[in-house]
Amino acid sequence: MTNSAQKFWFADRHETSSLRFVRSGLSIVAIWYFVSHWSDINTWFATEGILSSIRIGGFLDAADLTSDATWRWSPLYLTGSGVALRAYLVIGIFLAIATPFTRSTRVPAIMLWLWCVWLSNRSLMVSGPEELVLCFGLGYLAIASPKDLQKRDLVGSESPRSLACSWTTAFSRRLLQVHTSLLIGLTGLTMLSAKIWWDGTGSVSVAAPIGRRLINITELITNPTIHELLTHAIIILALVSPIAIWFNATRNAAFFGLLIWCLIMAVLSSQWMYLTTLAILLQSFRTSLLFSKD
Amino acid sequence: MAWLVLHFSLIALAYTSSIAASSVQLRILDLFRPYLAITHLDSDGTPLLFSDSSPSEKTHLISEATSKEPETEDDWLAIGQSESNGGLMGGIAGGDRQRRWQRFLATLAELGEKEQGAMAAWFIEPIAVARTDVQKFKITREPDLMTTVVDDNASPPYTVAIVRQDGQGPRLVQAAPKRLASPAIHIDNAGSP
Repeated sequence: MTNSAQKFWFADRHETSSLRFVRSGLSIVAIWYFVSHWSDINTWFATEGILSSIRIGGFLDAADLTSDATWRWSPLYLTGSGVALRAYLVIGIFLAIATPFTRSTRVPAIMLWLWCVWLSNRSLMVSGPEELVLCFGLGYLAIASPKDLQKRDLVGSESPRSLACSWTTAFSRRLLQVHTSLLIGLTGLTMLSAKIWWDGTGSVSVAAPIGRRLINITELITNPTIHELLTHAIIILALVSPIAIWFNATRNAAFFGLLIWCLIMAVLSSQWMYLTTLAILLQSFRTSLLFSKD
Repeated sequence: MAWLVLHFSLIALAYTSSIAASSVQLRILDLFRPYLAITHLDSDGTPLLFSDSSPSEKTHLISEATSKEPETEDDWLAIGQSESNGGLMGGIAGGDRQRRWQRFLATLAELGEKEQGAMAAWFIEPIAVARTDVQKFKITREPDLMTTVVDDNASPPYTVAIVRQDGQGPRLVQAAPKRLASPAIHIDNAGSP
C-alpha cells in the first residue's frame, strides 16, 4: 500500500467524538428497528406466518430464485416459534443498549451487527434501504476499538501522542465516510435514470403515495415552481455534495447540504428510519470539518 | 488495498444493478453473492432513487369481500386500515410497519399483473386461512397526485377468489385481469381511420 493510501485509511487518529455520536445514534436506530418488528414478527415469520420458512422456500423453488436467496443466510429461517422470534428482538434491544457502554470488548458491537444482518436477511420481500444503511454502519463501527470510543477528543488539547486512537478506529471512520458518500452519490446517479428527476416532478412523485405522514407538505409542493426547484436541488445536492465533502474548502457546505438533503427527503418520503440513519452516518465527517486540522 | 477497491467496486455495482444491470454486472454480482448477501451489503434489488414513478411505488390496499360476487365497492373492506380492523399497519412504529406491508403488497400486485397468481397465492393463503368467511381478496393501487384518470380506473392488479372445500385448505384462483379494449375501427386503403 502506498504511503498516501495508508495515511488516508489509517492515520487520522486524533478524533473520536464523531464516532461516539455515530455509535450512540446507530444503537438508538437499532432499538427502533427491533421495536418496529415487535407487532408483526409472528404474522410474518412464525410457522403459520405469511413469510414462514416453508412458504418462502416453496416460493423460491417455484420461482426458480433459490440460487439468488441461498446466501441470504439467517438463523431465523431455522425457527418459526413466536416466542423465539420475540426473544430475538429482546436480545437485539439489549445488545443495542449495551454497545455504547462497552469499553473492554467488541463482542456486543459485533453481535448487534449480526443481529441486524440476520433479521434483515430474514426479511426477504419486506426489507428496504433502512436495513442496508443500518447493516453497513454497524458492521464498520464494530471494527473501531471500543476503548477509543470512550476517550475524550485529543483535537485542540495538548494530549500526548500515546493517547491517539488505534488504527482500527481511524479505519472504521474512513470506511463509514467512503461508503456513506458512495451511497448518496449513487443515489443521485440512479435518480438520473428516471424522467421525473429531469422534468421537475421528482419531489411530487416521492411525496405523492404517502398516505400517513408526520409532516404534511403535499399542498405546498403542488406549486410547480416549488416542486421543480426542490427536485433540481435534490439532484444537485445528491451528485455534488458527496464529492465536495472530501475537499477542505467545500467540506462544511457539503456536510450541512447533505444534512438538509436527508431532512427534505425524510419529509417527502416519510422514510424516517432510513434517512435518520444516513444523517447519523454523515456525522463521521464531522471530525475533519468542525475541528479541521488542515 | 486491493480488498478495499474490490469491496467498494462491488457495492457500487450492487447499488446500480437495481436500475438495469448488464450481463457482465450480473455475472460479477453472482460470483460475489456469498460476500454481499451474507453481510446484507447489497441492496437486494431495492432501488436507491426514492422514486421513478412506477406503479409499484403507489399505495397498495388489500381488500376482502365476504360475498362470492361483490358488485359494488361497498362490498369490499380494506384490511389493516385501523387497529379495530385487524390492525395490520397501525400501532407501534406504524410508518415502518406500513412500509413493510406496502413492499409485500407491491410484490403481490406485480406478480398478479404478470399473471403469476400461483406465486402470489403462496403468500395470500395464510390470510385466507385466518379469515374463514372471506370469499375474495383484491389488491388495488390508490390514486394520488401522480396518477391519471386511466390509472385510477384500471382494474386491480391482483384479484383472487377463494374456493373452500370441506376438510381441505382453501384453494386460490386468480381472476383474469381486465384488458384495455377499444371498439373495432375501420381502416381504409389510405391507411387513415
